[in-house]
Amino acid sequence: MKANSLFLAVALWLAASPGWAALTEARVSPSRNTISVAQGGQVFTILWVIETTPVHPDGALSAAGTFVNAATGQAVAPPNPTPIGAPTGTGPLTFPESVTISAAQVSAWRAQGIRLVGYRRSFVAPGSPTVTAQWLLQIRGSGLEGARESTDGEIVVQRMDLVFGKGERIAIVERGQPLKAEVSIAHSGSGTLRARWELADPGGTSGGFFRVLELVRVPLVGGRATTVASPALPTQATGRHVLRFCVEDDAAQPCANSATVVQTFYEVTRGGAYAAMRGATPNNQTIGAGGVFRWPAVDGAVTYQLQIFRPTAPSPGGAPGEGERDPTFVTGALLPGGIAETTLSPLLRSRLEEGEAYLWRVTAHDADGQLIGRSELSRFVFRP
Amino acid sequence: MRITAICLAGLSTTAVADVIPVIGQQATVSVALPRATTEGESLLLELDGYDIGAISQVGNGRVEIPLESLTLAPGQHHLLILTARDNGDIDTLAEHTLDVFAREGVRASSSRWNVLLSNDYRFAEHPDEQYDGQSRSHQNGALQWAAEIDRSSWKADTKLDLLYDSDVAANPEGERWQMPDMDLRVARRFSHGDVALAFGDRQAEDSNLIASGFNRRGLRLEAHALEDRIAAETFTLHPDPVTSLDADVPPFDNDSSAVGAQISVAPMARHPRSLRLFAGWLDGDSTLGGTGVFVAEDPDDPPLAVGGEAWTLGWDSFLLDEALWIHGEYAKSKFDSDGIGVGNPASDADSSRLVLQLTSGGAVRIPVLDQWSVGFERQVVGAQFYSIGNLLLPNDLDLNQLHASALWRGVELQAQWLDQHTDVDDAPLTPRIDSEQQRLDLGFTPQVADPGRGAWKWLGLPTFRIGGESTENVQNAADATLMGYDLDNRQRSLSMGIDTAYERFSVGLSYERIRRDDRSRALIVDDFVIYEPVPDSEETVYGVNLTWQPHERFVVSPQWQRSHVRQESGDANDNEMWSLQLTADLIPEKLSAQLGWTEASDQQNFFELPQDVQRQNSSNGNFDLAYRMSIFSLHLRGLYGRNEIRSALFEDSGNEWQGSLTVELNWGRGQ
Repeated sequence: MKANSLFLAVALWLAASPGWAALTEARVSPSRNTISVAQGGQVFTILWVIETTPVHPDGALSAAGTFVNAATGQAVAPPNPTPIGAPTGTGPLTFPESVTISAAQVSAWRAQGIRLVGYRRSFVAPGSPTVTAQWLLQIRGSGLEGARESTDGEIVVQRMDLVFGKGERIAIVERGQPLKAEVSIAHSGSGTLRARWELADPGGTSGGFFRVLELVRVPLVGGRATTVASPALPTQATGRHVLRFCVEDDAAQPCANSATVVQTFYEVTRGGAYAAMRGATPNNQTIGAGGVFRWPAVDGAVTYQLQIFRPTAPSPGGAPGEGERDPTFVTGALLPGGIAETTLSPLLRSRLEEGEAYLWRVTAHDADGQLIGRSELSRFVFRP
Repeated sequence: MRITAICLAGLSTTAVADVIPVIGQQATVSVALPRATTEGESLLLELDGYDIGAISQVGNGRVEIPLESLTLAPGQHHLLILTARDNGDIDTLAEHTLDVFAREGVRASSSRWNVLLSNDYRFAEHPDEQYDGQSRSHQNGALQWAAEIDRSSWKADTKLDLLYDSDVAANPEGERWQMPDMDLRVARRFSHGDVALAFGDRQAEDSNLIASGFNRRGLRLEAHALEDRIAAETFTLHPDPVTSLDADVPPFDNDSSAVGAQISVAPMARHPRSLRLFAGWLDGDSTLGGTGVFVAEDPDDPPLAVGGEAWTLGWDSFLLDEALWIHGEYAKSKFDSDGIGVGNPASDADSSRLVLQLTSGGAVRIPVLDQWSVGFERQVVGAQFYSIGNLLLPNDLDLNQLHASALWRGVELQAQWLDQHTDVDDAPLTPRIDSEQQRLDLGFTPQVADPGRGAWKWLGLPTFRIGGESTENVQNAADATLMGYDLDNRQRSLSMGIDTAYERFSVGLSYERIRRDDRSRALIVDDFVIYEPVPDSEETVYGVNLTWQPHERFVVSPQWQRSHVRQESGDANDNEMWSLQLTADLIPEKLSAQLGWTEASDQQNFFELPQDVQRQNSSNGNFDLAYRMSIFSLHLRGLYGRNEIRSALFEDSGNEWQGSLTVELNWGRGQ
C-alpha cells in the first residue's frame, strides 16, 4: 500500500515536472450551461483547454465525447464520435466544439428525471497520461416549473409581489401620511435571504440616485412563501418616489447588479398637514378602571377620535403584527380638540372585558373633519 | 363610523321618534330625554359604539348632538341613551336610529377630486453626457377622482386614479400614463339583497387555496342576499396586475384573462358565523408579469403562457363565542405550469388545508393570561397544484404547524413549530426534503403606574425583545444523485432588540446572529466534483434607528445598519449603511426643507486571496426646499449619487448630480 502511494506520488511529480512531456490538465469553458424544455434544441459552443508541460510537443487528441448523467456517471446518450484535437502543439491547447442538443433529447432527459448532464472528453497524447474534462448541462423545466428549481439547494426566488399597504401596485398618498410596502416572496431552497430596500427620491429615476433604505436578513425554511415589510417610507416630499426591493447576489453587490429585483413607485401629493402622533400611551401596559390615555396634541385638532379594537389572533405561521392588520372595533370615544388625554369613561369600561388585551389608537381631525394626525396602534390590557 | 370633511349649517331638528331623519347640511340633532336622571345616576351617550358624551350637550330635558363635530356617513346610525349608576350598572333609557340622507330622497351624493400638476426644470447636471438627448423639462401629473350617489333602490360609485410622467424610465412597461386604480360600480337593491355590476379593480380579501388577494382589473357581477348570508361573485379579470391606461377593461384576450366565480352561504340565520360554506372556481392563462411582480425566468426562454383551472370547496366555523375557528378546505387544479404547448400537458393535482385555532376573548378563558392563542394548521399541496389566483402558494409540500402565544403582565411569548416535507406524491424522480423549524420569541415591557409621569415621560417605555429560531433542511441522501447536490443544513438565529418611543423620540436597537451549519456531503462522480458543500457561516447584523423631534417643526432621523458574514473558509462579506434624514417646517405650511444623506458600503474579503478584496461604496444625497402658496408650490431640489468599485485589478468610480426647479399645482375639492 505504501509502495503504491510512493509510486503514485513519484509518477505525479514526474508528470508535473517541466522536464517531462505530458498533458497535465483538461478543462472546458464555460464549465456549465443551462437549457430548458421551452428552448427546445440548441447548439452550444464550448472550448476545451488542455494544459501540458512546457516540453510537450505532441498536442492532444480526443476520439469521442460521451454524455452521462453527471450525478451518477451513467451514460445517457450514444457517444459523439466526432474527434477533436491536434497531433502537435504545446499547451495551453484550445479546441472549440459545437455540441448539438436536440429538443427530443432535452425532453427525454427531463422525463427520465435527469437534471444534470455531463459531456465528457478524454484527451490523449503519446507517452502521456490521459486527461479528462466534463462540461455540465443543467436541464431545467420551463415556466413556473423551472422557476422553482434550485441548482444547489440554496435559495431561489420564484416570484416576488410588491404591494403597498392596501394591496395597491402603485400608491398615491398625501404628504406626511404613513406608508409602507411589503413584498411577498415564493422561493425554493433554504438559507438566509439577503436583500435590501432602495428608494429614488423625486426627479431621480436614474440608477445612481437610488439610496439604501434598509438591509434585510431573513432566515428561510425551504419551499415556503414569506413576506418582508418595508420600513416606513418617506412621504415628506411631493412627487414620484421609485421603490425597489432586490435580493443580493452572492457577490453582495447592490441592487443595480441584482438579477432578482422588483420595482414600483408611489406618488406623494400635497394634501394637508399630517402629524405622526408618536408616543401615545398606554403602550403594552396594563391599565385599571381609571386608566389614562395620552397622546401628543396636534395643532388645529378640533376633534379626537379614540378607537379601541380587539386584536385578531394571528393565524398559525402568520407574520408578527398580523393581529393588528384587521382588528375588530369594540368601542371608542369622540373628544373635543382641546385635550390630549382622557380616562376610561363608564361607557368605555362597560364595553371592555376584564383581563383582556386590546389595541387602541387616536386620530386627530380639523374643523372640516379631515384627518390631520394618527397614532400607531398600541396595545393595553384592561384589569380594573 | 368615520369622521371626514364637515361643512354644515342649517336648522336643528327636534326628534323623539325611534328613527330620526338627518338631512344634508343639518347642524345638530336634538333628542328628548325620556326622563331626568336621578341621584347617583349619570347620563351616557353612545353613537355607533362611540362615547359622544364629551361633545354633546344635555339640558332642558334634551340632548343636543352637534353634527359639526361628526360627519355621519349616509345610512343608519345607532344612538343609545344610557344611564350609569354608581355601582356600575348601566340601563338603556332610549334607542334611536339616525337615518342620514345627503338630501331629500338621496341617501348619498358626493364627489371629490384632487389634481397634481408639476413641471420640473433641470438647470444643472453632471456628467453632461449622461443627460445627452434628454429634455431639461419633465412633467408629472396625478388625478384622483371619486363620486358616489345613493338612492334608495340603487347606488353608483366610481373612482379613478390617473398618473402621467413624461419620464418613462421608471414606469411599468415604459408607459407615460398609468391608471393604478379605477372602479365603476352600479348596484340595485332589492328587499332581501342587492346585485351589482362593476368594472375596474377588484378589492377582495379572499384567502383560500385558489385565490389569495386576487385583486385584478376586470368586470365583476356581485350579488348579496339575506344580510350577506349569501354572497356570490362572477368575474373576468386580467390574471396579472395591470396599471396601464390602455389595458382592456374587461379583458377578453384568450391568452391573458381569468374567469371565475365564487359563492359563500351561511345556512344558520341566527348564528351566521358558526358555519359558512364556500366554493370557488377560477380558470385562466397568464404570461407571468405585471406591475410590481418579479418572476424568475430563463432569459433564453421564449415568451410563455401558463394556465389552467382550479376549484375549491370549504367551510369556516367560528364557535364558542368566536374563540374557536375551524377552517377546512379541499381544492383541485388542472394546470399547465411549464408553458402551454411546451413540455408536458396540463396536470391534475389537489390540495387541502385544515386550521384549528383557539383564542382568548371568547367563551374559553384562562384567567391568569391577558391574551393567548393556540393553533394548528395542516396543509398538503400537490406537486402540480397551481392556481392563477394564488401563484405564491408553495406547492409539493406537506406541512404541519403549531403555534401558541401568551401575554401576561407585560411578558409576551410566541412559539411556533413547523414540520414539512416535499415530494408529497412520493414520486421516484422527485427529491424529498424534510424541514423543521422552531421559533420562540419573548418580549417584555415593564408595567408602570403611569407612563406619562416621572422618568418614563422622558425615557419612553422600553420593550425588550429576544428570540431564537432553528431551521433544519435535509434532503433524502439517495436523492443527491437525482438532483446533483446534497442538502443537509441547520440554521440557528438569535435576535435581540429594544424599542422605545415617546412624543419627541423613538429609538430602536437590534442585534441578530445567524449561524449556518452545512452538513451536506460533496458529490464526486468519476473524479468530477459535481457539488461542493457551502462553507459554514455566521452572520451578525446590528441596527440602530432613531427619530428625534427636538422641536415641533424639526425631525431628525439617523439610521445605521451593519452586517458581517464570516465563512468557515475565511471569506467574509461586510455590508454597512448609515443615513441621516432631516425634515424642517421652517415656516409652517409655507416653507419646508428636507435634507438627507446615505452611505452604503459592500465589501468582499477572500481568505486565500486577500489581495482580491473587492469593495463598493455608494453615497447619496437628497435636498428639497419647498415654498407653498395657495395651490402652488415651488421646489428647489438637488440629488447626488456616487458609486465606487475598487479591487486589486479594477477600479472605477463615478458620480452624478442634478439640480432642478419644480413648479407644482395641487388642487382638490370635495369630501
